[in-house]
Amino acid sequence: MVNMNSMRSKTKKISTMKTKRKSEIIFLACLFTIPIIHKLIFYFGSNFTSFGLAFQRYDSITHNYYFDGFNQIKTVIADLSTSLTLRQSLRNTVILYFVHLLISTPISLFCSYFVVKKVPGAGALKVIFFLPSIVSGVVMVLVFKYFCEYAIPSIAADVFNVQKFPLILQERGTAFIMMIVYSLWAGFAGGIVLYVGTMSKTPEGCIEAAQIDGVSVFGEFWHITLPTVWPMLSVFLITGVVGMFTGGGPEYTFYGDTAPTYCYTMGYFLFTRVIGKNASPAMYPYAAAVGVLVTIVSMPLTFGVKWLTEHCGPRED
Amino acid sequence: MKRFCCLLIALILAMTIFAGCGGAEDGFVRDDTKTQLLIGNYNGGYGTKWIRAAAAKFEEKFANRSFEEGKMGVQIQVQDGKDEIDGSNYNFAIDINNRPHDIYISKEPRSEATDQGYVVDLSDILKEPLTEFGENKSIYDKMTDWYKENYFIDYLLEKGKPVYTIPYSSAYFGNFSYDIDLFENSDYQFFIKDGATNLNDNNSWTGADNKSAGRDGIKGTYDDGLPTNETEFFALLNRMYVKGIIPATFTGTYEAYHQAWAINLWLNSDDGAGFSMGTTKTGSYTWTCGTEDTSDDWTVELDGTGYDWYKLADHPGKLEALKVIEQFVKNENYYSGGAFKTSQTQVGAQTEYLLSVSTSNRIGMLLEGTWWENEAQETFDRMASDNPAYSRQNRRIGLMPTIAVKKGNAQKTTFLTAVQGAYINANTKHLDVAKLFIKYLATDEVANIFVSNTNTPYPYNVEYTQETLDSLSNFGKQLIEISQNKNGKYNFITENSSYYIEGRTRLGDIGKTSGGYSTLVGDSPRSTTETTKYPVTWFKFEAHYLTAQDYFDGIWQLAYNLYDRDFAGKIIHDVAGDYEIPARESRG
Repeated sequence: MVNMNSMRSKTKKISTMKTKRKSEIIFLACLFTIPIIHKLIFYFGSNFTSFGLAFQRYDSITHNYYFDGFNQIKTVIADLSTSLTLRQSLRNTVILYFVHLLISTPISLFCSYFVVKKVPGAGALKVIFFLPSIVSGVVMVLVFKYFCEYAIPSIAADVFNVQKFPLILQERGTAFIMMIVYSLWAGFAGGIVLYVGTMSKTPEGCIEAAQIDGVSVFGEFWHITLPTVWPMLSVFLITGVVGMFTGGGPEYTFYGDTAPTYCYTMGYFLFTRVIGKNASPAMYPYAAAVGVLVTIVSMPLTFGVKWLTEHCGPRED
Repeated sequence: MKRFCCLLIALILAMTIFAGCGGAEDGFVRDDTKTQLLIGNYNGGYGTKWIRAAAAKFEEKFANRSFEEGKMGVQIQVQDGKDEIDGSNYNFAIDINNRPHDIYISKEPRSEATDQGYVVDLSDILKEPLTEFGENKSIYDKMTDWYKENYFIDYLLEKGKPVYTIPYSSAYFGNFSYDIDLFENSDYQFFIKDGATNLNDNNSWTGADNKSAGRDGIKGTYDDGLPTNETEFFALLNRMYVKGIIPATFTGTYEAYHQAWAINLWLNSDDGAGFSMGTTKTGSYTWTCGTEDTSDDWTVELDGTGYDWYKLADHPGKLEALKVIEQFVKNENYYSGGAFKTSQTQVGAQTEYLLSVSTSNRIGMLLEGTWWENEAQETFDRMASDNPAYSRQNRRIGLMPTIAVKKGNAQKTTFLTAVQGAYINANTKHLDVAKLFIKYLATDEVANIFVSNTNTPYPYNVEYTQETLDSLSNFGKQLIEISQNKNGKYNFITENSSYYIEGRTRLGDIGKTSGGYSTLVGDSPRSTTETTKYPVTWFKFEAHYLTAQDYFDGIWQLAYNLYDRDFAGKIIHDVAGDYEIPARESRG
């Protein structure tokens, strides 16, 4: 009798658990179905068709795409040595990446560290760095344009008596530099949010022990704080490499479809081939071929950076 | 307190997600007892007042007519837009069949839309008399000759081919507008005197009196006293500079404006004949350099297939135009500091120009499309509130025709004409009403509504009422004078007629869609990807050391490279039989 009762209660428990499990599965299925479908269509589907485009050509007479073997890829490889625009785009993209890596990232880390350490003015720093990410990018670009084209020439004329100040957003020698300056200014806040959050989790006990041992501010940052944020930082470094060859600066917001060629980045180069007034279906295979080649190059690089961050980076222990 | 402030700011920011929501546009309240017609209006330089006024009149006319069972009358909703309903926008063209609009008042649709059957063929209504509106003539009868010529209307009707749009505006693009009062001012005197020979002599210039005949060679017309060729043009600019006037300004944000000027210079080398060859695709054409020395004459023969367009790439008129552009751009004294700024939009340039009248940095001319006066209404109103002399009606602005380069053979003044069209979405559920409205757009009534609201000529042979003519500004009156072309001295060339001819996409990048200025850049002679197509910005920023000749050489080189890459040796499968596109001929 007792066994029957306990068996019945066990069965009831199992049945309740199964029902609960079933409800959970239904709930999760409802939650994830749309994102999964979205991923299948807009990531796998579009990448699959994009990959296929790299081996086709567009016939401007019949408006159709035809299989063309490796000709597009051969064209891109040939253009890498002959095409000024493509080489310039690649060069600018790499420059932009290293500027972010070597300037923006360390500054973000240090600023986050100072915010966490609550140094005087940290609050103001937070506002200054977060402002570009709160205000619309188009507004920020407009402000920057006016600053470069009106404020700076005005200051140059009034203070330094320079009457004909060049148009630094257009001139060959300065336009891309200003893109970099803007990218740095607008891009600081991105990492700070996450760095500040992670740094805040640094064990207080470690810090106190280190301070007792007489560690300097820099030493504390290097030996304690950096290892704490390293896992997150390494994610940024890895994803930075992934997006290096297809990313870009704010050229489109500044110039629309008609940026000067010396400001081109790979992202802008590819974007304007497929979208906008200068785009054409004839360029889709070419852009797809560039994408394939970029993937072939960036894949080993990404794995390499991943290995490096896992084996060579600082550790919490 | 801090938490409260943070919450408040977060709430305010969150409110912005509702920015896209809202009730009916402009207080539109749908009346389901009437047939609904939705019009997508490109709200650019012509604005929206005119189409709304026309729609209101149409509703009034047919208030008691039933187009659908159970409904009486028509209710028209006008939705304004810009890029999202721009017919020349590829993304819009391939998506028209998913849009809810019945009619588009916009830039003409690309071939991607018409080829897919997304746009209704209007050829059946072109020759129907507009009797519903009290007129005996048809749309076709009222169309101007230049429009029929540019758009091959007769050819299309004869061959039974579709006609997708009817025009509703004709504006002249890429010309300088100038301040007549400034030019007439006795301190400046920027008009060329009749019979002047030495433009370095102050006596060769005049104010209001004894002006030269201008480009059309007829005194008493709008262009009296204005420069006819590059010598006179630069003499004027130099004189303006010496007299302390900044000669010109234009937008730096949009290249299309100074690109239009570059195209105009080319057109005015030979009345646009070479440019038009790109559309006719066949025939022989000789460009004569206007002197007895025929060694610089240039002849091209097109075989009629449309594949040998590369032969047009080295039209000598382009070289002459490039020389003018180079000389203009490389002298910073000729334009304001704002001219090339990326932050100076076309509205910014208009404002800079208009406001300069009351500053010590007076600007003499503005490079724009003739819709600019309408676009600048707010600035005119603002200035007029301080000084009525600066109102649009009182301020005397004139249109300067593009010069004819001396080494050319232009007989007429050619205007690059921007035409926008009205067309019907093939998805419309009210085709009969939509066609009726399209017909209505060609009536004199709508023409007068359009002209009085926009100061822009209507591309039909219409009778303007005295009331309409009196409402025009000085600038508007000049435009009407030009459009009526009573002396037959003006020529109108549109950029988009290639859309309506079979095989139009064969014209490719080197054809009319780029204005024919695509050129190679860099040091790759066989490249097809190194291009720019804007000579004005090219000379300003990228090629201080390059010349017009270099740019010109890049034009034909690029054309040849593209031909070799995309066409030479390809087999075309045609109903008449297979055709192999021949290898390129050597440059003559």
